[in-house]
Amino acid sequence: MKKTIKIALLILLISLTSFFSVGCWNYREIDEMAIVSGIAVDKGINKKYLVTLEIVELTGGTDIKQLPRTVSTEGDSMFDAVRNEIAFIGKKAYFSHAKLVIVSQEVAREGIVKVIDWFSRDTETRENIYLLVSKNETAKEILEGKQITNEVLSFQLDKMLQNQESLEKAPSGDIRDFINNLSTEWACHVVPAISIENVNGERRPEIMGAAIFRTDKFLGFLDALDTQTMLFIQNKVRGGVIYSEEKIGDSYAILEIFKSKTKINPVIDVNNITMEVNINITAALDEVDGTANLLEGEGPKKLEQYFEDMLNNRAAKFVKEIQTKYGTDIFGFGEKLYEDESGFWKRIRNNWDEEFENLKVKVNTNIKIKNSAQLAKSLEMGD
Amino acid sequence: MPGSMVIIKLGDCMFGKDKKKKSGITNSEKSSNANKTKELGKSIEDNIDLVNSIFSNDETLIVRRFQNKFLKTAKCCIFYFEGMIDYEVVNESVIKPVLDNNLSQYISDNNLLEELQNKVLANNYVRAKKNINNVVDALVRGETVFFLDGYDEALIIKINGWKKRAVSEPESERVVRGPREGFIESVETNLVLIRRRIKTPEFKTKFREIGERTRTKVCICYIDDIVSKSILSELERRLDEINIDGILDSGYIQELIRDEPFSFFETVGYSERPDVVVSRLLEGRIAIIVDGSPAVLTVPFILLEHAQSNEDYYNNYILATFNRLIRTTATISSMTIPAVYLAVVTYHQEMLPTPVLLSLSASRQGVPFPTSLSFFIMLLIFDVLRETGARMPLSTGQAINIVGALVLGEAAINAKLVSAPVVVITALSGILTLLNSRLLTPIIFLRFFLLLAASVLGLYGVIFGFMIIILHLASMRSFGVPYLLGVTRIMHHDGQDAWIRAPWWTMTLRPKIIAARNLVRETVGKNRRR
Repeated sequence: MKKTIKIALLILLISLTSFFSVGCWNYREIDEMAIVSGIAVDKGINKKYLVTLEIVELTGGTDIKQLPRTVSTEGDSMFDAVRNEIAFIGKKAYFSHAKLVIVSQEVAREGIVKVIDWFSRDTETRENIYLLVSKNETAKEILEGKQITNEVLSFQLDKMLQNQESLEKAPSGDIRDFINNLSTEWACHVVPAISIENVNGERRPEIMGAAIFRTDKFLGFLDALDTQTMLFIQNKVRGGVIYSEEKIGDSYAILEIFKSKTKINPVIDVNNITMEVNINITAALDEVDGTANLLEGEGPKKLEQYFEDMLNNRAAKFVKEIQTKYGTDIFGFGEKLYEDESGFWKRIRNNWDEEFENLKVKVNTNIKIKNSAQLAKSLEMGD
Repeated sequence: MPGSMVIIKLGDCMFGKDKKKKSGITNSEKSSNANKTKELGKSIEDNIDLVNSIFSNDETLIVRRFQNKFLKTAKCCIFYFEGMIDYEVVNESVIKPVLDNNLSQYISDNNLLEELQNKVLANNYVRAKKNINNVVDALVRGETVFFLDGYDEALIIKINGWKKRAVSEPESERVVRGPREGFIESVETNLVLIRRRIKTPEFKTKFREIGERTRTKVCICYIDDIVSKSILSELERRLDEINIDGILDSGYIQELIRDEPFSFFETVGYSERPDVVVSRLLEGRIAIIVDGSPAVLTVPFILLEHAQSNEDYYNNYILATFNRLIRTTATISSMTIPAVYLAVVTYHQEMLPTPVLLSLSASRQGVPFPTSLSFFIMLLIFDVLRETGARMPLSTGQAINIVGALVLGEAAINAKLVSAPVVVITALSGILTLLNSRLLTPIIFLRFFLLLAASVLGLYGVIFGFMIIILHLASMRSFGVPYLLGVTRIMHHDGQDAWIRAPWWTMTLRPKIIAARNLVRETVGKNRRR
């Protein structure tokens, strides 16, 4: 008898704890959800926000078709707007598989924390959603663009962002990175920029360049070349292409980056800080658009020298521009000081913005051209 | 484990509480009470009448009277049941010698019956019995009973001669490599099959009869210097307590002597192959051969024996280990796959990769029933088909397969009654079940149990359900041996033959708890290959 009571109690205890300790215990069928693939946040006309969801609708049967639809609703907060969705489609929107959030410049300028708070707080949304800023007037029109592949637009954009590694013309980063950066003293971030272009009469989205944020406020855009330079300094380049700005001999040369490693070395002389940025690149000559034999004799050396000078100049110019125009430390110099020179950092942390504007930056690029891909010489043309 | 003694939980035995203690009384003694008044007399006619009255209305009982040529007083008769004796042998070894021999030369001695037994009857089994009950017993067993006028004793002559099935490979346990002999329905033949493989005087056999009416011959056999005495005495106690009308197959005994009578898991093993039974005897287990059943029981039985196959030991140990892993994972998956799928699809959609989510969602468009319900229905239909396939005559079985495949597969999906993944998972789970058909009962019921848990609590439910199953298994014992013996070990010698099949030269010890008395299988290092 005693044993039976004991067992009954045990079963009760186990089932009770299981009921209280589990997070998701709502049974819901997979087809009753509106699977959200992408989100665009704009300024509302009547209410605070206009949220556009790209929803994947599926047709069943033997040949599955994915039919993306966009639904826009207004609300006074993100969650309010998102829930208003039910009034339009009846199904509850399901956010766990959403890939990206596109924010319009207007919303971004006002401060983006109000938007991403919901993404990091809600249980269903993920923190590894990509955050992008629309270069166009609204974010909505980008989600309404046309995809090139058969996939849903947001899934295609997701792949584009994932494969930035071999392009390096836009930064990549998700909401979690953004939030992590917010709490630091330098508190600035770059997110990829997206625009919609007219290509052959069709509106195609394009991810190119970056948007600079100071704390959670949008400041301005960077173009693709500047973004690449920034990524070089940030030590985030894993691949990509460098092309010569002017002709060497009679041709332009294009390098493919195999490996790039940047080391930032703060040199402190009393109160003057100099940031030494050492960029080491291993590359290969991948394209020569002329007949100049760039690899003959002293050729490789010259080529390396040319690209080193080019990148040095470009970087120095770019850093200067950021310092004067935006005055935000997007390169992570502050982080480096915090890590390496914590004593010094403590003294200057409170007016780091000023310090950054006057920071001396010395860029020293070192390029090693390993080979010229499959051709030893340039293509020869008969006279 | 220092105390490797066998702990027998007496209370676990399913009987004993509500049944009278009757261990001392055997069947023949009981029936002697009924026929107390009737005893064999000196007159042959009285005896014939007595036997005929006992078997009145039974026309297959044959009595054949005959007389010696030389001694007119030597009137005798034999009783037998038609078809149960070998006529030729009876004619040659009983009737002919008694007819032809000059019995008057023995008349000078006091006991003619004894002289007949010793000098005339050319038969290898002749016993004199005074009790009418022994006579009746012998007759129903198919033996021949010989009466001589003037003696209140009968001679019982064993000349059974009925048809037996030939020794052939058992249908249920086929092998690619290994002996092809299988047990048949005769306990004597089965014993021969075992004894041919164990040539030692330590091999012991103990017979008994179980079943009030069927008097089924049951033989316990074991190897005396390996077997655990406490398991043996516990087995004998349980067999003694069986009180049942009839035993038609070893399944009856299996159910009557098992531990954990309410569990889905079997605690008594069986095999139709002599090589399997002998290998278990060599590990210290006890075999129970039941007359009329080709399935020989072995005790104690542990969970991992389900994963073992005799072919594991005849093939390369690497392949055997691989096969064993396939069997174990298949068994676990067949139980859990529907539940895990249900949990992920209805509770944890975020765990799915996006393309999978999309295709699953597409397959569910327009399906009216919830996934959980369609799983219950589909699994039930699968079980119905399985049972129909087993019950149908062979020629119509084909039709069931075709209809089943059509109904389950194409038609159900096209009619949007179930989604395609549900059919796939059901079929997969069903096929995996067939890989280990001995575990059919637990798999079928625990699959539903886990499915129910998954539909209520998602993956947590599956985990909790699995925990309950493991707790149940861990609490089970078979004749005092933990049911999960060997499951938790891999390097220890108990685990050498569990998840993996270690090479023979490393398996120097027998399973520790089962064969605690005589652990060493072979001398360490003697067979080691360098």
